[in-house]
Amino acid sequence: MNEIAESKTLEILLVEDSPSDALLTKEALGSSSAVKTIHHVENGDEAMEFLHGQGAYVDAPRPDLVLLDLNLPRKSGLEVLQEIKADKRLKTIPVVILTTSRDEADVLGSYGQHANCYVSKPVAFESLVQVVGNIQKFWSGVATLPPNGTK
Amino acid sequence: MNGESTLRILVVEDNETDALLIREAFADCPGPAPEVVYVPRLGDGLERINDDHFDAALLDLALPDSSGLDTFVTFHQQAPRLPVLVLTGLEDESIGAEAITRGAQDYLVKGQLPASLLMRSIRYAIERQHFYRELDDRVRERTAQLALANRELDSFCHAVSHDLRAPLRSINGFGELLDKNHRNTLDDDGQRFLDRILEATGRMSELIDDLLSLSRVSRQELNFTPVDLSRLAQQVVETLRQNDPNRAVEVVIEEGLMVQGDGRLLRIVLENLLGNAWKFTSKTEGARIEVGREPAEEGEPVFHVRDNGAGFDMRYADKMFTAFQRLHHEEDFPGTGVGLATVQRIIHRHGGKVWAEGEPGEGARIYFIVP
Repeated sequence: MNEIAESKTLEILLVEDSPSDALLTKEALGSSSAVKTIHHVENGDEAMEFLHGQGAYVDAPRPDLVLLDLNLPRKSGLEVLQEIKADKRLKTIPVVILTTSRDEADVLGSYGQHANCYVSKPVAFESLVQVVGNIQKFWSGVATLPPNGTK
Repeated sequence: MNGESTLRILVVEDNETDALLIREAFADCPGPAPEVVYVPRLGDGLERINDDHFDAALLDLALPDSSGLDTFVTFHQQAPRLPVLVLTGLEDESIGAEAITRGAQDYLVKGQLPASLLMRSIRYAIERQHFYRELDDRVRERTAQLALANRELDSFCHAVSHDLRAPLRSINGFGELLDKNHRNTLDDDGQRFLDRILEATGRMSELIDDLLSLSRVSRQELNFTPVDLSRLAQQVVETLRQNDPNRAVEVVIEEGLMVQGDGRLLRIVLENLLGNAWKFTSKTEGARIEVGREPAEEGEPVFHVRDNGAGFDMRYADKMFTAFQRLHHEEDFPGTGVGLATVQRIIHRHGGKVWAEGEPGEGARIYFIVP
């Protein structure tokens, strides 16, 4: 274990408009001890408010990781990504695109806007558990994250 | 046809005697006299058809600035919709016939043309050209409509499959959670029903994936390069062996099967064909799969993927290539029935052909041509 970065517990922001998908993602992550809190917001505007600590989110922590759906009502996932990566303070937060789409255009578009990784949601729950588990394991155990608290 | 209105005819003819004869022929014609413009050189002719409207042209092929078939080709290129009657001499009549294959409406042999026939030939030429143009327009329009309908169908297929995934994920996800966390609260029937639901979501997920792949191969742009089918087949078989290490299948792949095509799509062809062969030999002793080229015949090389597996009834050979058509029971050989439809779509997009032969219990042979 000593070659692997020391695990830390993650504050995760989940941006997902479908309540079912959000619940499933939370369930898939649920049992993991590496997750401190999953904060769920349902659209892009809320996501930006959360990240800026505005409105209802004055006390929101700075997330260690953002799981971002692309198909969101009003402000799209790509726009959220663009705003995060254009913001000096926010751009160091890793953003994982977690979406149903497997379209090449979406993949290219996301990396073009500096997404940290692109993952398509599998249909089968077991696979979803694996995929989400891998994301969490990688970002909490393998990757070294930028120091938090620079809000 | 232009009815009673005066026809405008361009005559490109440098020989004054010939021009005079044509003039006389026109003068002798019954019915309203056409308006005829005479020019001596091809260059003049090209200029006139650019600036002016004509109903037809008489074109001598031997002109001071151009000769032979080239004269017609140049002229026709500039005004592809203008009916042209080529003027030839007795000794070069064959060139007139040649001009017709290149798009001329007719040829007239100089000095052999009774006045009464001249106008009739011209009118027929105009009529024919008009008719062809209309046909041509109609074909073009239909083709465009078809292409549009195909594109719409493909995007519809893509969108629907895509949108179906989200609710399916819910059904499967909550079903799995029910199974994992609450199974003991269900009685025997309840548990059995739940198993059925989960089984069905798995199958539907496969169907959606295959549909998406079918629509993708239809939409994706082709990128032609030299493709080594032998090497692709080798890679596909390796993957099959890795995924199914307990199967002992003898696979023989002929070396050096080269084609020009889209490597990504041709890989999908081999994945499907070899995947099928692999699947349908699963109940065969001494399973054997062969990839190769048919002994040299005339024309394009014919490739084959052969197996000695379950085979099929030749009566259904055409049906196999239709999406969702399956010739075997799901319990015997699982699958969605989209694989061969995908293969056919890819081969057709390459301008090629694919067909199947086989007998029940005697294996299947799939042939394809990639021109």
